[in-house]
Amino acid sequence: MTDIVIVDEAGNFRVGKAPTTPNDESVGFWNSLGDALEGWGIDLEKEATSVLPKLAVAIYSGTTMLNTILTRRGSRLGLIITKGFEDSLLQERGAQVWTELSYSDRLHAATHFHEEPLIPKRLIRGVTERVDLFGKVAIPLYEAEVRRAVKELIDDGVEGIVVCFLFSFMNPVHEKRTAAIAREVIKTARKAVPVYISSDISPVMRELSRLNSAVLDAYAAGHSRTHLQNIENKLVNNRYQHQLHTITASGGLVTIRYPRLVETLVSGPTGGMIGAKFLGESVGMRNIITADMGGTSFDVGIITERTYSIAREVTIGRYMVNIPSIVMNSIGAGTGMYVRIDPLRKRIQLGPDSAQARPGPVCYDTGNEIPTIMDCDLILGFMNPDYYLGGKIKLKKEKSLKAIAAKVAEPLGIDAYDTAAGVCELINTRMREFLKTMTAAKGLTTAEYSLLAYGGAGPLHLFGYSQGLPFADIITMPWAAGFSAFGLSTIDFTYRYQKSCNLSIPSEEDDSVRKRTGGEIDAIWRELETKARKEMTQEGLSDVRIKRIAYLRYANQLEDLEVYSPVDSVREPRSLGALLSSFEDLYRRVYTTAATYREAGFQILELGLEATSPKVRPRLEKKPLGDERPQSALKGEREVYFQRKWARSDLYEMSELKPGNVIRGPAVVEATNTTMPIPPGGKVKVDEFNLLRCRW
Amino acid sequence: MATTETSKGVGPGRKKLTEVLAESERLYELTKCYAGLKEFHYKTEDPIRYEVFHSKLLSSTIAAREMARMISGSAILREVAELCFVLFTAEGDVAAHSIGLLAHVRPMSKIIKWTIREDYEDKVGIKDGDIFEVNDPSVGGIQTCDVYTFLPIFWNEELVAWAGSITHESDPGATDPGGQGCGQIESFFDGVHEVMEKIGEQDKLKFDYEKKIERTVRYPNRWILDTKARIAGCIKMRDAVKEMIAEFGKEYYLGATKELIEEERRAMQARLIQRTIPGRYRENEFLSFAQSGLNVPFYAKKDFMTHIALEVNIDPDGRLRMDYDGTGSWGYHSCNMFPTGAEASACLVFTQSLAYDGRVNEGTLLDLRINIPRGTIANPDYPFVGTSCSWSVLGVTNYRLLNCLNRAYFARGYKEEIFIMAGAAGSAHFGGTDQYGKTFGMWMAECAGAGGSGARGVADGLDTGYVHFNPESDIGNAEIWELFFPMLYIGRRTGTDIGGYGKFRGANGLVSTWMAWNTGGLYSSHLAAPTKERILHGNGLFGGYPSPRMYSYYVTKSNAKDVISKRSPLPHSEGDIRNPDIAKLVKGDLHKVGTFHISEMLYDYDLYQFYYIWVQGGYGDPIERNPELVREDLENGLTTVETASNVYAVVLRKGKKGWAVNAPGTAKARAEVLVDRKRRGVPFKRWWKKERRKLREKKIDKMVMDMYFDAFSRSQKFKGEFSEFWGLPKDFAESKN
Repeated sequence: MTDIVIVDEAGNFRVGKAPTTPNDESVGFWNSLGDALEGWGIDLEKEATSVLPKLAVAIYSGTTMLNTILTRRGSRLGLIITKGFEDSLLQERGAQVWTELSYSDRLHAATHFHEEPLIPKRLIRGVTERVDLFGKVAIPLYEAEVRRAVKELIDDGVEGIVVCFLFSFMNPVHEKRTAAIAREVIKTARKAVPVYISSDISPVMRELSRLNSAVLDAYAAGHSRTHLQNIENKLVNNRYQHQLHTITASGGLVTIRYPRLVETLVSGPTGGMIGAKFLGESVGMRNIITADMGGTSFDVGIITERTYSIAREVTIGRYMVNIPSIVMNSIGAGTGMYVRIDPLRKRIQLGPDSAQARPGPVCYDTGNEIPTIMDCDLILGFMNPDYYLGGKIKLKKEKSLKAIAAKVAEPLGIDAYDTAAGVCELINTRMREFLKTMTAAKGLTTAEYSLLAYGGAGPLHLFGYSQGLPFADIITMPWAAGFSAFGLSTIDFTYRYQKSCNLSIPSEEDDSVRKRTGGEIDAIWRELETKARKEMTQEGLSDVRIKRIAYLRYANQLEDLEVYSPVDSVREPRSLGALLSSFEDLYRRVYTTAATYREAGFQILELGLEATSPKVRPRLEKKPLGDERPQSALKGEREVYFQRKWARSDLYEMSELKPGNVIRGPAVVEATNTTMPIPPGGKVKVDEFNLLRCRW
Repeated sequence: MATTETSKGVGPGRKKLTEVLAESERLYELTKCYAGLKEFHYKTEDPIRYEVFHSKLLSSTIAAREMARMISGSAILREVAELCFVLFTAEGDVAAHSIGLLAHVRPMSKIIKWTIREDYEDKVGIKDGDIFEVNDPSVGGIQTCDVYTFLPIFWNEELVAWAGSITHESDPGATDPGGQGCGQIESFFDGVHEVMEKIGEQDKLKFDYEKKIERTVRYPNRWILDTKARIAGCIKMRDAVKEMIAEFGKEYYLGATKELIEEERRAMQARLIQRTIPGRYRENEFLSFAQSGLNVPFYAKKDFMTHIALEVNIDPDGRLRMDYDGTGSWGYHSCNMFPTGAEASACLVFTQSLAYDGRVNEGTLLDLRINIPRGTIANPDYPFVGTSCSWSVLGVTNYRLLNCLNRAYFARGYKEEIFIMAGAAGSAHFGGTDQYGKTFGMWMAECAGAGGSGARGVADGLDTGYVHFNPESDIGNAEIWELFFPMLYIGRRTGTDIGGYGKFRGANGLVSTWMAWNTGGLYSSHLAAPTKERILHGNGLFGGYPSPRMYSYYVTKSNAKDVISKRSPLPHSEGDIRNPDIAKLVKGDLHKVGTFHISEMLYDYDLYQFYYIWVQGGYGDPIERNPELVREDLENGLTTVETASNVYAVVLRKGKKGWAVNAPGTAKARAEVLVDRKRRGVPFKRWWKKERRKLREKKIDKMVMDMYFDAFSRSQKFKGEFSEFWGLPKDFAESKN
C-alpha cells in the first residue's frame, strides 16, 4: 500500500491509503493523496491546481530501487576496477553467502549460496593502478588500459560505467582521472553513458561494500529517479511550486536530484525512527527504544538524548554496503511466523520462515495449513475474526484452532489453547531477550528509556514482550500501523557529513600533543560546518543547527563508537579530555570496565557533523484529560485466554478512546488495523496526546 | 569462594568439582543417559517454560560474541569472526554456544575437565571473578594461537557454571610469525604457552600478565585487546546466567541444563537413525612431509609420509564410533594433533551437517566413541610434539568423516545433505618489518573463506565463500588486510579449475597476488603446507575429481619497478598454467613452491602469489555436468576451453555474445568418452594382480613403503588387513627391507 500523511500549517494531519502501482508509482501516490485530502473535504481531481500551490514540501519514499535490484531489472552496466579484482562481484564478500539466513541455515553450510552478479564478467575490465593505504600512488594509472576498457564497454552497449579502485577513499586521483578519460572517450563516440566513481558515492574503507554501493546506485537509481520524476511532474503539472524530496537511510531529507540515491534504498524503517524522535520531542521523552513488530520481523531502534546512531556498513538484500543508515536491528519474530513441532525432539519450533501475505495464516483460509503466531492470537481471543482490516477480511477461527490442535498441541500432549498461549509466551520471550540484548550491547539502562511500540502487530504483543522489562514508560498509539509513514512527515532537513582522518591521541596527558590533535579535529569540524552551511543556504534553509561527532576507539581496535561531542571545540586539552571521557563512559557501559584499555591510547579515523534545519511538521495536539471511564469506546465483551485461563474481557474501540480514559485488563482494544489485548493486572491510560501508556 | 575449612568444595551442593565430574560420568556409564536422566522433569512439567529457558541460554552466548568482536584489535576477529563463546555446566559440559569457531567448543570442555581433574580447586583456588587463560594444546586445545579464556560462575558461593571463550590470535610469539608455521616442529618453537593460568582476579587482568605479553608476542597491544574482548564476553554470559538463576531458580537452572544435554544426546541418535544407513564407512589419507628443504633442526630435515586411517561405524541405534587404527606415528613436524582434535573435528562436522538446529551442546557428542592408538600422529606419546599445523590432520579428518557421512546420507536418500568439505588448510603467514616500521607477525586470515567448499550433492561448491572451521566464512576486504602487512594486493582473482571436476565441481579458491611495499624486509611461511607437497588430498565423491596439490610462487630481486615505469603488464593472476604470467611478465628469482618457508627476505616490488587450494573435490561424473554450467564457468573465467572439451566433453562455440553450447556436438563427444572408457578399462582382478606384483617385488616408492611399515608398527589389525587384501606372504609385513 502507499500511505500518505498530509500536514497543515497548524500541524494537523490526515492519513491516506491506496494500492501501490509498481509500474508507475505516481498513480498510487496520486490516489493516496486524494484519499488523504478527502479527509479534509478536498476533491483532488477537481481542486488540485488550487490546493497544490499551497503545498510547501512534498516527500516520497518508495521501494522502486529495491525492487529493481531484487527483480534484476536495472541498467546494463560496465565496471572498471583495479586490475586483479575483476572477480570481486563473483566472489562477493564471503559473508554474503550466509548473511540474512536463519541461525540454523547459517550453521548448515550446504544451504549457503552466492547471488548472481549484477554486472556479468564480460562487462568488467581491470585497469592497472594502485594507491596504498596512506593514499600514496604506488602504481600509476595505466591510462591506455582505461581508454581501451571504456571503448570496449561502450561498444558492448553499456548504459553506465562504474569505477572502483582500492583506497580511492584515501586518494581518489585515479578514479577521477579514469572518469575524465571515460567521459572523453564517450564524448568522442557520441554516446551518453554516465560514469559513477566509488569515491563519490561511498568514500569510506572496505572496497567490497564500496563497490556494492556504487554498483547498486548505478544499477537501480535511474529507474527510481524515473518514478520520482513522474511523481514530481504530476505535482508540478498541477502547480506545485517546489522540488520533490525523498528520505535517506540515515534520516536525511534530500531532493530527488540527490546524486547518491543509493542512500535512499531502504528508508521505510527509517520513518519509524524519525517519527519516534519527533514524538519524543513533542511529548518530552529524551530516550526511546522503538519496537516495530510486523508479519515477519521485530525491529528495534534506540534514540538516546534525542539522537539515533548511524551505522556505516549495513546489509541490504544480501549486499553489504557502505550506506549510512539509522541503526536498527531485527530478528525473525512476526505474526506470520510458522509454528511447528520439531519431529526429532517433540519441541515447539518457531519459524524461521513466515507465511507472508500469501498464503497467509491458516485463518485466511487461502491454502496454508501450518499454524502461525497470528492463528494463536486469534484463537486466544486477542483478535476479532470479524474486524480484521475493519472487517474486510473474515478470519476463520475454527480453521486456526483445528490446525493448532492437530499440528502442535496433540504431538505435545497438551491443550490447544495452552499451546497457543505457550507459543505467544515463547515469541514474546524471544522479543524480550532481543530487546535486552540490544540495550545491553549499547550499555543502556532500560529504566531511563521509554519503549515505543508500533507496526501492525506492535500493540498486539506489547504487554507480552515488555513484561518484566523496567522501562520508564511503555507507549503505543492508535495510528501504530501507519506510524512509519507518519514519521516521514516529521523529518527536519538533515544533512550528514563525514571525513576520514588518522589521528592518534596517546594515553599520556601531554598538553602539546593534545593541543595539536584538538586543533586538527577542530579544523575538520570547521571544514564540514562550512560545507554544511553553504549547501543548506543554497537550498534556502535557515536556522541551521550543528552537532559534532567523533568516531573514537582505543588504538588498534577495528571498531569505534559514535560519540556526540559534549563541546563545540576541542582545541583545549581539557575540552579534548571531555570528549575522551564521553567515549570512555560510553565504552564502559557498552563493553564493561574490564574491556577498557586507556593505556593503548586513542584513535580517531573518522569525524562527522550533523546539520539540521526545521520544516513544517505535524503537531500533536495536547488535549485536556477527561473522564477515566472509557464508556463511549466500550463496544462489548468477549472471552479471552489470558494467563492460561479464560477471562470475560471488555472490548473497546481504539478510535473512540479519549484523553484521560483508563482501561484495566482483562480487556481488548480494537482498531481496524491493529488490536491490543490488556491482560489482568495490566492498565492502559490515554494521555493528553492520545498516546496509550501501558502499565502493569 | 575458594574452598574453606567449613566447606568441602565449590561445586553445586558444595561438593568438590572432582566429585561432581566423577558422579556425572559414573551416571552416564551406568545408564547411558546424561547425568543418569531417564525422564525429563522440567520439559514435561512445562515445555514452554523449558523452551524459554533454552532461548535465554543460547542468546546469551550469541550476544557475548557480537560484543567481543567490537572490542577486538584483530582483523581476524572483527573482519572474519574467528571467535566463539560457550556456556558450560559446573563439571565442564557444553550447555550452549554461539556460532563461530565451532571446532573449539569440545576442546574447551576438555580443558575445564582437565582443570577439575588436576584439582585446581585446591591447588590454585577457583573464586568468583577469577580469569583463566590457556593455549597449550596438550591440555585440550589445538594450537597455541588459539587462546581460551574461562570465568567460573558462582551463585551463593557455589560454582554453578563456566563461561568460556576462544579467539584466534594473529601471533602467539612463535619462531614462525603468525604461529602456525611449518617450521615449528616441536612445542619449544610455539611461543607463549599458558596451561590454565590464572591471569586475573576480580575481573581484572594481572599487571604481570600484561608485562609478560608485552615481552612475548609480536603484537602485544592486539593480544591484550583480544583478551579483554574474551573476558568482557564471558562477563556478559556470567551476568546472563545469574539473571536466569534469579528468574528460574538455581535448581531449575542446573536441572534444565542437564535435560537439554540429554535431550540433545537423544536427538543426535534420532538424526543418525533418520539420515544414515548404519554400517562401516572407511576413508584414508596420506600426508607427505617435505622437510628436507626446510629451515628446521637437523633431526627434522627429511621427507616422509604418514598414513591416516579413519573408520566410522554407525550403529543401528544411532551411535557413532570413529577409529583411527592404522594411523602412522607422530613425528618431528608441525602437524601432530592431540586427541581432542578428533573431537573438535566431529564437533565441526556434526554441527554443520547434522545438528544445525542451534541446539548443539554436550549431548551432540556424548555417545561418540573415538579410538586413537597411542603414539600416532593423532595421539602422540611425546608431550612436546609440534602442533602448530595440527589443522592438517584435523582438516583431513573433517573431510574424511564427512565423506563417510555423505555416503551414509546418499544411501538413505538424503542427497541434498551431501557436502564435500574443504579439508586441509593452506594459508600464508608473514613476519618482518611492517609499513609502520615495527616488527610484525600475522596469519593472513582471508583464508577464512578463500578456499571455498567441495561440491554438494545437488550443486557446485561455494567459490571463495567457505572454510571448514567456521560456517560463517568470510574473505574480508583487501583494504583491511593491507592495514596489517606491508604488501599491496595486485590481484585477488578466483582460480581456474582448482576445485576438482565433477558433475558438480568443487569450489575455485582465491588466487592472491601481492607486491611487497613499504617494508624493511618481510618473509613468510605456510600453514599446513608440509603435508601437501606431493599428495592430492580430498578425492571427491562418486566419480568427482580431487583438487590439485597446493602451490605458490614468489619472486625476489624482481624488476616490477621497471615494469611499472614502462606501463607494462604485471602478473595479477596465474594466466596460462603452462607459462604463468608471473614467470613471463617480470624478471627476478622465481620460485614455485609447495612447502613454503622462505629463508630470504622480500623487499619492495618483490612478488608473492598464493593459491588457496583447500582440498575440495567434485561430485559425480564430469561428463554428466550440465553443459550450461560449463559455459557459465567459461564466461566467468573459472574453467578453460581445454577443460570444457577434455574433461567435461562439452562442445562450445564462441559468438559475438559469448560462448554457446553445441548440444548435438556435446552429446556425441560424451558418447565417445563412454566408448573410450570402456576401451581403456581393465577388469579389477587384472589391475589387482599387476599392483600386487609391484608390491611383492617392492617396486613401490620407498617413502610409501616406509609409510605403510610405520602404520604396521602401530597396528596389528591394519597390518593383517593390508596383507590379507593384497594376498601377501605372512612375513611380508615383518620384513621392511
